[in-house]
Amino acid sequence: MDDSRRRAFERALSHWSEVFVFARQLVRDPGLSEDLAQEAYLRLHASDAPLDDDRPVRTLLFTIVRNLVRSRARKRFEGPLGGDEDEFASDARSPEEIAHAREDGAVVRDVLAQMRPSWRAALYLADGLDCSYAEIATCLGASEDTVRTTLYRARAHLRSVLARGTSRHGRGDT
Amino acid sequence: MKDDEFSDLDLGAIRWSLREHFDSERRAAPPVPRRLHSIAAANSPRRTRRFGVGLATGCLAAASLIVALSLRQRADASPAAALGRAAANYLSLDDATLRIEIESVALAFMTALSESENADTRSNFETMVFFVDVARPDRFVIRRENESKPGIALAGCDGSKLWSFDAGAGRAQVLDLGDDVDPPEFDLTRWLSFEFVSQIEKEAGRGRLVEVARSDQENGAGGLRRFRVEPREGVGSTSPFHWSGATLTVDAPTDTIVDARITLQVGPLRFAEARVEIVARNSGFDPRHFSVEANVPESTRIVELAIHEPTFAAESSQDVDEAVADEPFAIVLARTGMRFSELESVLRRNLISTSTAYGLKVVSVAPESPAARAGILPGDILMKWNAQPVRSTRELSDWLDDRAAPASVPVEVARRKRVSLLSRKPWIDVSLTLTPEPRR
Repeated sequence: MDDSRRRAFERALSHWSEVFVFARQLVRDPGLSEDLAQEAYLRLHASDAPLDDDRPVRTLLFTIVRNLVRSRARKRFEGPLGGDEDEFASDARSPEEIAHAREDGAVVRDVLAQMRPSWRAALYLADGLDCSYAEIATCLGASEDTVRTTLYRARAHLRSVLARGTSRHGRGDT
Repeated sequence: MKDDEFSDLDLGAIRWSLREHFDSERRAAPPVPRRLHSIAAANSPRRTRRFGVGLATGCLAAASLIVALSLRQRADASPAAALGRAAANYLSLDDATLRIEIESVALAFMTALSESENADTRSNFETMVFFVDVARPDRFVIRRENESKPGIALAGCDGSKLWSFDAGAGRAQVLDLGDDVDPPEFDLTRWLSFEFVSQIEKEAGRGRLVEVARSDQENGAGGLRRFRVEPREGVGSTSPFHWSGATLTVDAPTDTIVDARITLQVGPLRFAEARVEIVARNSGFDPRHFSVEANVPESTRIVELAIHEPTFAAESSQDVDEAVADEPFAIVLARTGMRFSELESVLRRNLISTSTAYGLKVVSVAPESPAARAGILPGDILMKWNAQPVRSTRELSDWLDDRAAPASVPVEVARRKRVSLLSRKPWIDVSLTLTPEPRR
C-alpha cells in the first residue's frame, strides 16, 4: 500500500459510523452491522480499486456493504425454509398502534423498523446523509427512477403513520 | 411523483425527524475496530499481494508442477498480472460462490490438462478434486487421478510453499515461493478457459434463462418476473462472445419498475457488471413486453449473462414463497427441501466425470424436510430419481408433479468422502428413499 492509498484508507475510516449505520438499515442487528461494516473495510483494503476523488470512498463502502447483504440474503434464499430471522424482525403492532402510543421520535424509529430494508437505506442516504439521487442509486444498485419512487413511497408511508398519530393526539391535523 | 405532493404534512418535518433519528444512530455507532486502525497503520500490502499474486502464482506454479510430474506440456507466455487482478475480483464474491467458482475453474483446468495429454486417456480419466481454503484461496490442494497411470498426483500450496507429490513415481517436491518468486512461464488462462468457456458458450448461445429476477412492485408485493436473455439479431449468431448488446425480453406490466443488471463473466476468474438501461417501452399492443438493452463494450468477452434482482434478494421467506411459487426450483424446494447450485451445469460437467454428465449438486437441505429425513446432505450430488438420471430442476419438478409418481421414490446420490486426499474413490454412491411432501 503506497502512502497515498494508506492515507485514503485512513480517510475512509472517518466514514466508519456512516457505514455502520448504513449496514444497520439493511440488517437491524447491531452486531451483524458492525461485522458487515468491518468486512467492507477489509475488502476495500484488500481490493485494488482506485481510492481517489473520482470515486468517493464512502459510496464504494456502501456498495460493498450492499453486496455483502445481498450475498447473505441470497444464501438465506437458498437456505432452509423457515421463519424470518431476527435481523429483519419487525414490530408486530400495527402502524396505528405505534403512532398512537409514542412520540414522534420513537414513532419514526418504530416505523423505520417495520420498513423494507431498501426503503430504510434509501431514507438514510437521502435524509440522513443528503446524498444525491445518483449517489443513492449507485449505493443501492438501483436506477435513479427507482430511488425516487422508493423515497416517495417510504416518506409517504412515514407521513401517513405520523399523520394518524398526530390526528389521534389532536395535534396539527386540521 | 414529486416531493410537493406532501402537502398535508411538511416534507421538511419528515426529513428533520429522519435526520434526528439517523444522527442518533450514528452517535450510537461502535468505535472503529482496532483491527482496521492497525491495517491502516501497518503499511503492509501483504494481504492483497498474497491473495491476488498468491493465488495466481500458486495456481501457475501448481500447474507447472503437475505438468512436470505427469505431462509433457509446452510453456507459453504468462499473463500473471492479469490473473492477479482476476483473483482479486473474487473479493467481491461471497464464500459459497467463490468456492464453487474455484472448483469449477480448477476442475476445468484439470480437464483441459487431461485432454491435452492424450486423447486416449480421456475415457480413462477418473477423478480430479480441488480443495481450497475459502478464507485463504492461496492455500489449495489439487489432486489428480488417472486410471491409465498408477498412483495419484497431488500438488498444493499453503501460501508460501508449493509442494507436489507423485504417489506413482514416489517423488515429492517442495518449492519455497518466498516473496520474490517469479511466476512460472505458463499460460494458465488459456488452459482454464478451454473447457469452462466452451461450456458457457453453449449456454449463452442458446440464450438460456440464467436467473430469475424479482421486480419492485407497489407495496412490495414482489411478483416474479421471468427474464429471457436473447442475443441481438445478427450479433449472437456469429459469435456469442461478441455481443455489442443483448436484448432482454421482460414479461412485466408496464407499471412495474424493472431495474436489473447483467453480470459479465469476462474470463474464467473475472467478472464485470453492466447496467441495464431501459431503451424502449411498448405500451401499445402488448403492454406486457418492453426491451432493455445492455451496453456492452464490443471487446468484452461475455461468458455468462446473469440478471440480478433489482435491489435486494427477498427479505423474508414469505416473500420467497410468494415470489417463486410457480417456479420449478420452488416446487422442488417445497416438496423435497432441496435447493441446487446455480452453476449446476458446469459442476455437472466437471465435478463428476465425463462418463456421467448428469446430476444436480445439492446446496441446501431444509431441516425436517423430506430430503433431510431421507439422509441427503448439502454437497451431495443427486444422480438418479426413481432410477432416472437427474439433469435439471425443471425435470425434477415435472416428476414431482406427476400424479402417477409413487409416494416414496428411490434416489441415488454421489457423496464426497471427507478428508482422505489419497483415497482412490473420493465419491461414494449412496442409495436412499425420499418421500416428497404431498402436492398442495
